[in-house]
Amino acid sequence: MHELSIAQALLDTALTTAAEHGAKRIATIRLRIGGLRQVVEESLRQAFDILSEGSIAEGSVVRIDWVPSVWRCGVCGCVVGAEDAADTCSCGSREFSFEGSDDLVLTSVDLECDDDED
Amino acid sequence: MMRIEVLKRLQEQSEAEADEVRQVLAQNRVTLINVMGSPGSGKTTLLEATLKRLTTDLKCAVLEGDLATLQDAERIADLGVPVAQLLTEGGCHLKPNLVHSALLRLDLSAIDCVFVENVGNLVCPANFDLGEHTRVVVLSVAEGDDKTSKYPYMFKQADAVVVSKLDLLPLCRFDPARTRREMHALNPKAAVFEISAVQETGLEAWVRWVHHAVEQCSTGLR
Ligand SMILES: Nc1nc2c(ncn2[C@@H]2O[C@H](COP(=O)(O)OP(=O)(O)OP(=O)(O)O)[C@@H](O)[C@H]2O)c(=O)[nH]1
Ligand SMILES: [Mg+2]
Ligand SMILES: [Zn+2]
Repeated sequence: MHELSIAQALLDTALTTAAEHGAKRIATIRLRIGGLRQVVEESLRQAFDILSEGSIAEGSVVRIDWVPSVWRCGVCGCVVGAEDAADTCSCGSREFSFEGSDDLVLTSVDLECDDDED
Repeated sequence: MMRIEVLKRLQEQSEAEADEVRQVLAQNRVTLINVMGSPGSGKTTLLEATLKRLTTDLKCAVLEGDLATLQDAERIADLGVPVAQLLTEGGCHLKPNLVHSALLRLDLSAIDCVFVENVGNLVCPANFDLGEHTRVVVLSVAEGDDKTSKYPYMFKQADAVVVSKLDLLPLCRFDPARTRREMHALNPKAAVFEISAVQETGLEAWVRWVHHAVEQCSTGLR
């Protein structure tokens, strides 16, 4: 359950940003998560909902941009599933390379401020 | 409505805590080795076998991370090695601040190398830098050889993988060549060892590697 720690860091960072801009509510939070992190979306959302209760981030829309990991054949370049990286590629090669991101980045927030017209 | 670009890495706070651990280690010239792996993969058994072979020339200590009970710490204490049990009380991984406070309870001036046994888990501990110099993953043959591809983050960050319980190989579906191949794709620099703590095989090369890691680290610290 590293999702709880991630949700806490997400909330803290979003709240700090909102405070810096004098926001009264955080409408949307966008983040980028690399596949290497093996984050369970459901757990992350649940943890965030619980932690954000009663704060100006309560009810924020959390949009996640996932960066998937890939195993790639070193000869023909085709992408295979993790379960096939142990086998031989259809081109005959057994050389696979792994590409994965461990990004965990709060990319942007949409803030509602006092001087908002709407 | 106002859109603000933030672009902040969420691990910053935890990394700052890990940096504080690195500072404590550098001040005291201590190497920290983070030992990870599934529950029951043989982490404590490996540490027991390693400590018996290391302690003559290296002064070691152990931090035992577990969800509950003092059993692992007691096994290490039986060897006469300084040990602290870190209980996460439900937490599935160690965090740097827990390691930090435990380090301060040891007499670091009399220690060259501290092993941290992380909580048994192949997912969460991979996400937390503890301030360690070296990461080791213990993978027992009974777990199956598909673990490297199922938990790529853990294995990608490993400096060494110890394939353990090799005595059980005849009973298990485990191809050590697959582990080497997938480790090569994930992290070509990682060392791979095959050991049996029960039959006491393969331990010399591993112990030499630990020595080398501590030496490299202490020349870096000087
Ligand atoms: N056959 C065999 N069994 C082993 C070997 N090493 C450890 N075991 C057994 O595996 C079980 C778990 O070993 P531990 O060393 O406690 O494993 P661990 O990874 O420290 O476990 P946790 O700390 O609970 O996650 C014990 O019953 C050990 O006796 C080995 O080389 N061969
Ligand atoms: Mg143990
Ligand atoms: Zn191919």
